[in-house]
Amino acid sequence: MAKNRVKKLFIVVMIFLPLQYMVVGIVGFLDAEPWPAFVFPGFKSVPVFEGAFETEQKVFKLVPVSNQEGVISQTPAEVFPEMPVSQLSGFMRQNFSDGRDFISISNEGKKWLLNRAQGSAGVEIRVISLRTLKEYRRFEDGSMILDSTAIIQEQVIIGGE
Amino acid sequence: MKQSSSFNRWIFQSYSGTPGGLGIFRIVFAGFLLFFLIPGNGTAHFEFLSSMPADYFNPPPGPLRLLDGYPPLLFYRILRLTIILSAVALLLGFFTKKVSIITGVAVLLLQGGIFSVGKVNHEILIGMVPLIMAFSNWGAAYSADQYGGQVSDRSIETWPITLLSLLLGFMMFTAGFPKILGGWLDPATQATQGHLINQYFENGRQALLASAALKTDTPLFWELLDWATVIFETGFLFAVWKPRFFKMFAAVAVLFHFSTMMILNIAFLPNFAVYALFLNWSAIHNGMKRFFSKGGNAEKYIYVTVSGLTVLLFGILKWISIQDMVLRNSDLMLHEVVLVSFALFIVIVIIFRHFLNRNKTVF
Repeated sequence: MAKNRVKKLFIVVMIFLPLQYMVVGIVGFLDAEPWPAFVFPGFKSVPVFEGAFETEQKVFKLVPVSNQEGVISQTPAEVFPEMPVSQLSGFMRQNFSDGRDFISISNEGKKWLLNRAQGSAGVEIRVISLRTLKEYRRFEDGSMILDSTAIIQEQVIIGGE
Repeated sequence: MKQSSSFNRWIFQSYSGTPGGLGIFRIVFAGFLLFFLIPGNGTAHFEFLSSMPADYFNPPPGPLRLLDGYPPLLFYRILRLTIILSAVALLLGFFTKKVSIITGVAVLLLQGGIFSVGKVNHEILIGMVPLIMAFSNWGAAYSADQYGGQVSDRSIETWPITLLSLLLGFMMFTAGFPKILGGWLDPATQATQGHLINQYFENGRQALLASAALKTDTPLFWELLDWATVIFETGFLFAVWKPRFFKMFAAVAVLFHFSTMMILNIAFLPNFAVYALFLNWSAIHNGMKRFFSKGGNAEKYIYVTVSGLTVLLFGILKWISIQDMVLRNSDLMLHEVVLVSFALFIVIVIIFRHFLNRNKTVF
């Protein structure tokens, strides 16, 4: 490639990089992180709340068809074992966030989720709900203890009528 | 005028190289891609993605929004096959420039298909390395092109290395800058420790030194890590202008990723494909030439040996890794631990040699 064209390429890239970073910031704030983009993960947040370390857990609560079996708890990793761990939390946030109106999931979407849950639990399921928990941990006498747990939300996705 | 010439020097003279050195890097990179960096977790992962209804299709803002659902399994299979074939061709140096571009585009397309679950993994550099290095003439040596008489010009270009350093430096800055805004430098809270607890309990990343780190309740230690992370990541961008500093930052990056892997169980292997570019491949090539020159026909011996060893060693490592004999309850793979540890070993050797003054061209 001719030297002048290479120089122009560098100038374009040097202008483009900060501009795309601005766009990533704006689009990411309004919608979601765009792709493709020349950014690395920021891990911006500091997950500390009033001196305790805050973590969020999502758990599927599965009610079997048979009354003899109690409610089964399954983690997202158990229901979607093919999903890489690095993508699982993003997938759950996008599809099973607290604000999502599960009524809008199509019959096909519900059937697919039901199949996944039944495959993971090994029994027929009639109700699927999602529980979102916040756990708070702190140090006591040199070891980490679970200070408190709060159920943020429990929403029925399938069944329950 | 002076500014223009220093700009020129930065673009064209920051990094030196030889056709042989770049040729060896190309072979190692292609093997690395072939065995460890193909996006996705294989057939089961692709079957899962293509089976998902459109309800769960959440492409990130960008070209993927043109689709209205997950692509069929054939899309993933064709792209994976394209990457495998083009990586093999890249390793051997068949139509090197064209297959470099094909490899980069196929990697980016496959990544797009995978990220439509609603989570972007920041691995764009895997595709950018072959796309940009295509213009370096990295197929000028140790390639089928060379032996088949397809290489008319043996001169190489090093500006693609400078361009990749700019991309890497900028991307590192984008990792560090939000941390300043997010409060990482606030001495009252320890962000790294918070993320360790997050990864440990939310994602079950409890392998290697994670449990030991979890028991460490020394705010000063964690705060130092917070500050070191921010300074290192933001500083990367400013090191772009001085190749010597940039190489030092790349060396520190290896240490950074090693510690991140040990504590947070995140290896971030794709970045190592870029860090490796800043090794002194010309020196490695010269060492090989000296070793093989005794038998005559050194060029062909080097080509066969580097290609064969790359495939053999990476192949064995990958095979052992997928047997899942160790790290069973972790998403971290054995090959990630081995490769990141090996990279740290290389860095330690380079630093040692640098201080012993045996090789002044290291940094």
